[in-house]
Amino acid sequence: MDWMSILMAGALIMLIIFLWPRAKMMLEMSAQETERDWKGAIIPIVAVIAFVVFLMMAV
Amino acid sequence: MSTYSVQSANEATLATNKLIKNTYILLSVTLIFSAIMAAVSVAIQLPPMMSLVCMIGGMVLAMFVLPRTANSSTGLLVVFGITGLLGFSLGPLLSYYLAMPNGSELIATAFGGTGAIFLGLSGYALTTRKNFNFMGGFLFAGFLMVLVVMVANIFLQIPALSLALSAVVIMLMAGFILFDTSRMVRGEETNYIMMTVSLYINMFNIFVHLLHLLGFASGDD
Repeated sequence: MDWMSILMAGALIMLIIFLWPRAKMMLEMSAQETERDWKGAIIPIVAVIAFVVFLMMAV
Repeated sequence: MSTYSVQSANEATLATNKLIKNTYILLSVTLIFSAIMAAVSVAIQLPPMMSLVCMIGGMVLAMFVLPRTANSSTGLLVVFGITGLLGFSLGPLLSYYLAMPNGSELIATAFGGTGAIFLGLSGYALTTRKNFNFMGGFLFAGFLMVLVVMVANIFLQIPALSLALSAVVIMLMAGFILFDTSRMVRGEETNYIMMTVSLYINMFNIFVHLLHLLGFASGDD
């Protein structure tokens, strides 16, 4: 285990600790949302997946 | 509808349009600046350790300095600091791919692909004006899970897990582009500096992870 891996793991753990309260807040805020158009969100994300697969096949 | 409410609705629309315009102008400039910094980093053969230090520096600026300066002109300097450091940190990664026979083609494809994904998703969120706020909790929880697995994989070193993480990060960042753009269009985020950094980080992550997947698909990674 080299120092770079330890430093990288430390940076990621710092990011997790920093984002934890924000994630909790966002989860609470999302739960209050009444308008939930999952279909409207999933269609463009599926299009992105298809595009990435296309790029992977093209290279 | 009264004259007052029509006037305030017009003002809100004008403010949103100004926010969108300022965000995309600043995003374009920071992307160019970031690309220049990445080119400089490749040219001087930045060591991987320095790349990591630059990335951590960019993260620290984004987490601790930007929220305090986003409402002042100093915020603009901080944005350039963040995007410059993150762009500079790409040097060793780009050098690694450039050393491959089709490396420049892979980088160009990842760059173009990132641009196309961003334009497509932003265009979708801007034209439909849908509310994607319900995705916030899911996206943040998903991102935290990815970070935990990334930490584990630093020690486990499983290539298949690394590829799966790249695919998940691209999906999450696509969701974040929808979420952020929707917040901007609906006037829920009013600071173009914060919005620019959010969108930049989404694009940065898509580029890095798309390059990883393309490298694997071409058999060089």
